[in-house]
Amino acid sequence: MDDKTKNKFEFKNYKIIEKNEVAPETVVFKIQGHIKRDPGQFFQVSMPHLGEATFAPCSDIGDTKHFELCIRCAGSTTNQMIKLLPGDEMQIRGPYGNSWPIGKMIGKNVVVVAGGMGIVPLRPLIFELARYRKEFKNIYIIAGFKTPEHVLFEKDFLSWNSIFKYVKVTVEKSGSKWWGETGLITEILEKPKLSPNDTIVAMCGPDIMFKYATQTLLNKEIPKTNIYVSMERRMECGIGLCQHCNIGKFLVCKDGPIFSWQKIEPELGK
Amino acid sequence: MLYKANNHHLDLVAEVINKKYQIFSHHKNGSVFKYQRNQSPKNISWHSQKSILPFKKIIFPEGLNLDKDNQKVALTGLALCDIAALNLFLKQFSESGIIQKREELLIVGGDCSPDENCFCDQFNLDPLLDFDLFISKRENEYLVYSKSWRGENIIKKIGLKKSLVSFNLKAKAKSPKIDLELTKKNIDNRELTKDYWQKISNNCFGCGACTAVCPLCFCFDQNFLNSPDGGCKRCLNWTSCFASDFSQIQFGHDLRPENTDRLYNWYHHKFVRGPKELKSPLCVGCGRCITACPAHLNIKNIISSMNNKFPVDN
Ligand code: SF4
Ligand code: SF4
Ligand code: FES
Repeated sequence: MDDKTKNKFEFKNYKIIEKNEVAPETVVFKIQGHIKRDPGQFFQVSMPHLGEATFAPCSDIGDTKHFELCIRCAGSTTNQMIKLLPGDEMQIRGPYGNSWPIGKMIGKNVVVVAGGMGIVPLRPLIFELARYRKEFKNIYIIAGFKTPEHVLFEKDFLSWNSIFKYVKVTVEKSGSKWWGETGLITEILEKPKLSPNDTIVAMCGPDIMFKYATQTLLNKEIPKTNIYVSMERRMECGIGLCQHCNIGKFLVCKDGPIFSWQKIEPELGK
Repeated sequence: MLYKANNHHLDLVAEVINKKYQIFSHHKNGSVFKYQRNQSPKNISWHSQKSILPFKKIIFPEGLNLDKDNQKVALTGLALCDIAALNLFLKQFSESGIIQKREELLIVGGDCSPDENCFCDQFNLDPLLDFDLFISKRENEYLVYSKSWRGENIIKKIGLKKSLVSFNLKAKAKSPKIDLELTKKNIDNRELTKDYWQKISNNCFGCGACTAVCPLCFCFDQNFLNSPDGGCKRCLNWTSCFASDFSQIQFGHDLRPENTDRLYNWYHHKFVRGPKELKSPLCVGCGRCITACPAHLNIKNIISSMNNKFPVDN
């Protein structure tokens, strides 16, 4: 009776083959294997004995041999997870949730806005935008970090700079060797002229950034239906059962994590 | 089909059930009733009593082991509200494979005696009344109503005679009218009702007793149960949306820091999100949360007075 023993919490083991510290207390694990997924979807990753945490894989979905998880210390489980080494295994289930609306972006300008770790679920989207570059109009990539030390995927930004119209990385506090901008992400977002009905925005970052960044975009008359955000909430099950992840009447794990601003704004704070 | 039975027949029914299922029924324990396993098929109380805890901890025990096989369970003496709640509960978990499927359960209803906290009559329970048998006491006999092939099979084994009396199942509580649509609208409008929830939550201890006893509260955490031999098992533990870490994300950042946020979320789940997800409020009017609340908060009065305060379409 397979059905009896199989339940929705079933996971599989995957082996870590590479580990890189990419920013303070932040590592990227390269993991052997393939999990078919769309950009923006997430996994539940667990460490036996300890607990489970939610991560969006940050690598190119076109790589069918490996995938990458970017993990930052942010609590007891992640603090232990980043101690794992190549050769160690991770237990993973998923993918769960919806994905960035790439279909809707075809033939349009695309603005990607990432605040800090918010780049993680957006990176696979940017790889798709690059792969199918000709299908889209202008592409704007805007990312903000605390300091140059905190900048994630620096090499990617440098290479995206040569394929996309507008790539800006900003830090709140710059240092001597910093090549990018200095200032808040919303200040950078002010700058480009965007055509209101022809532009789709994909955004991820802390809730507070959404508040200000959407205001900037709304001032530019971009409709709420064209602004997409990926939300973070506490997740335990990832499959619509445990009720931890709700924002008003939506479950982030099931109805999200990606929502149009039109849909999610009225539910925030509920 | 409706049949008549006497005490002896019901003992036979119990024996037949016992061959296939673990039987649970109400047991008097001091001044309260507990819903517990019957070690033998004798002395089942077919009448429903309001146990402090509902069926949920039987089909979803604390520390639910994700690798275990499900046992076949017969839940007897369930009042209409609990039958309805059970069906919603099963619907919520139907795809998950972590609790019994409907066919692994035998659902046996029984007469109830409503108390002052019951308000099941405010809900449309009819579409949620999927059960196998319902046993109802009449003056000198019992009526056994069977609603499924599982129920019919049990009756066939004993050979009960049909009954031609009239029989219908109706919510027995008699409570003041609650407009559920208005309830939903008002709760969904947090701006409008903000001060109202603040006032209620000022009196709430945030203890979560209401969530523990509610048959339709099912929030859980996922944990590892570590054993001394170095092994560990995945398990699910009950939690409450009133728990301080319930909506906590990275770096301990709490997205529902105030008790008013948590209380609001509880009502919102019951009357707004529940209807969206499961096509029914997550309340069947059993009144358990009213009995359990140490602060004497009363869900019935709380929604009625909210609706009185905000009576018009908003
Ligand atoms: S039982 Fe009463 S006091 Fe405790 S959380 Fe529920 S409403 Fe608040
Ligand atoms: S909310 Fe209260 S009255 Fe409604 S089903 Fe739950 S315990 Fe019963
Ligand atoms: S994470 Fe459990 S319901 Fe969304």
